[in-house]
Amino acid sequence: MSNMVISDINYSYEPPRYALSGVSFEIPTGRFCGIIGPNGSGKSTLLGCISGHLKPERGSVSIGGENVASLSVREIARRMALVQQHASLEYDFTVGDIVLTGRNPYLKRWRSEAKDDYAMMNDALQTAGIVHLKDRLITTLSGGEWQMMILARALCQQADIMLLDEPVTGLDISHQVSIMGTVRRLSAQRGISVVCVLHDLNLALSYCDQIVLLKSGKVFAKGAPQDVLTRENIESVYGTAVHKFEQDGKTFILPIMDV
Amino acid sequence: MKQQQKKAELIWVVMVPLGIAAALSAFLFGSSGVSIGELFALFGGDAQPSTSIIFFSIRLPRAILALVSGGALGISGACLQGMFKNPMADSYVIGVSAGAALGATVAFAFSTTLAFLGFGAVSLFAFLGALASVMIVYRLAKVSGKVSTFSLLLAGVAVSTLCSALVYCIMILFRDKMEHIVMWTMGSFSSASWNKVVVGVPAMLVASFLCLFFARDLNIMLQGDEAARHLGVDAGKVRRNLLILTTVATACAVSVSGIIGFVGLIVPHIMRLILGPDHRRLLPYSFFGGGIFLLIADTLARVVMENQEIPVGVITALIGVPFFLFLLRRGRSVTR
Repeated sequence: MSNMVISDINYSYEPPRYALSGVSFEIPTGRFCGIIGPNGSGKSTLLGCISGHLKPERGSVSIGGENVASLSVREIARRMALVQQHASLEYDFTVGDIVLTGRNPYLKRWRSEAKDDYAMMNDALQTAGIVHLKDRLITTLSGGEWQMMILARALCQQADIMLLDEPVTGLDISHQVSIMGTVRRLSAQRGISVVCVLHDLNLALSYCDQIVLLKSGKVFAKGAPQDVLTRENIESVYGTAVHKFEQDGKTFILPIMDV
Repeated sequence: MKQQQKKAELIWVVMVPLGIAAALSAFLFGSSGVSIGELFALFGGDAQPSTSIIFFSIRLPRAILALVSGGALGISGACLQGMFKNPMADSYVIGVSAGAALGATVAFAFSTTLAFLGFGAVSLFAFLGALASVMIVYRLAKVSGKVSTFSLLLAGVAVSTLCSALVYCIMILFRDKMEHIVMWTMGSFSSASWNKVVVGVPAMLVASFLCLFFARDLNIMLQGDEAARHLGVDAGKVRRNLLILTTVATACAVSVSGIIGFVGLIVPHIMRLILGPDHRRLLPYSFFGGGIFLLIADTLARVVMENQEIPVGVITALIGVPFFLFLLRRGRSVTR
């Protein structure tokens, strides 16, 4: 069970100013939760607190009833995998090498990867649709290919929870849809809980089961995407007028351009 | 990676004969020549007493010290370059050499006669100076309980500069000791002894061996601290442990030989170019590569000038700098 409960989180980089204040919500197993809000609203800080990278001053994060703060780094890595924004790495590793590092939380210090680990790497590459990139050097990858590799690494980790920090920022629409679609499919098929920080409100509307809307470090609204992403909420949080309209049974949000 | 694995297997074909040739040269060449026949006679027990003294009391401990010190410097450089994700990093950027130089300078200036486990005051003070310097660097770099590689590098540069300034002050105040201090900072194995082997070599070997423990962690840390954490590696802890191990290894090397540059910088580069960035291969090969390189450099230091020994640090720099420039000119990133 990977039911996740975030209770009353407070976090401050520079006291007494709080980056997060009284943040609480719950993510049931296998749900896709989007964290949205303007720049500086505390989205990545919240993800850092959930992942155990940042220690909240108050409150707790628990997975299946266990407090994340009480888990070791390796135990956390077995339960939560992270997909970050694209970052370059100037070393001659292959895609296969990087994906295989997803097995590290399960390996004893002196043990090399076994056959099973390689099988899981191949399975992760297959699921992410990048088997053909296995022997490519990572220095030759495009931004989209890179993100698919990091997604494959997260899959290789076989964690119940996947944390995504702006995973499609800077990618073309084809890769945006490909990555979000793959994560959504996995969440539904394998019961993986997903916490995804997003900027694109339309992606949030399309792929998330639930949304947490942050404003100045506090939860402004939470719930189903249609209930949270109302025109009033968006305009109030972002301070920008938007159009919200439906087409072919889907809802879209566009900012009103003042050109 | 498979190609690099093959290269790793093939590299032994070069390294083993090179290592044997380096060891034989170290035993045979010097101010008094020893022939191969005399060398074999030593093991038969029918060698001249003078040959026996040259081999067992002078050349063998010296060769062992050069080999293991080179290995310690090579593996430490590889660890620190991986840890800092910086191709210019070696043990000296974190203040080891400057601290050791300050310690040795104090011992020279005040003609201290302290001795411990067969180590003279200069070696002892150099060792303590290196340890103290890195401890100060680490404390300075620790901000809000965390030590970033960036603050470590900056603190290392600051403390090194301060130590160097103090060394110059002492040199000016004690001009008669200036030559000793300058020669020491260029490195030499001329004071090699079995005492130094017995105490220094096990410490360097143990510290170097324990570095291998963190090879996979280093691979993962290249992906960034946060990514590493999510792959089960606490980068802060690994960094602290490796700092301790590399400091002990290099402080021992420096205390037995003085400051020898370029081994920790160049050898990991060469190995990375041949074997790729995987630290599980890079670390052991940097150890053996560093050892062989320093053994050859020490032999050259003894034989290139008749009746005079050149500081080994000069030889490593004379070989190292052109090679380093060659790497830079190759147009391939040396970070990879």
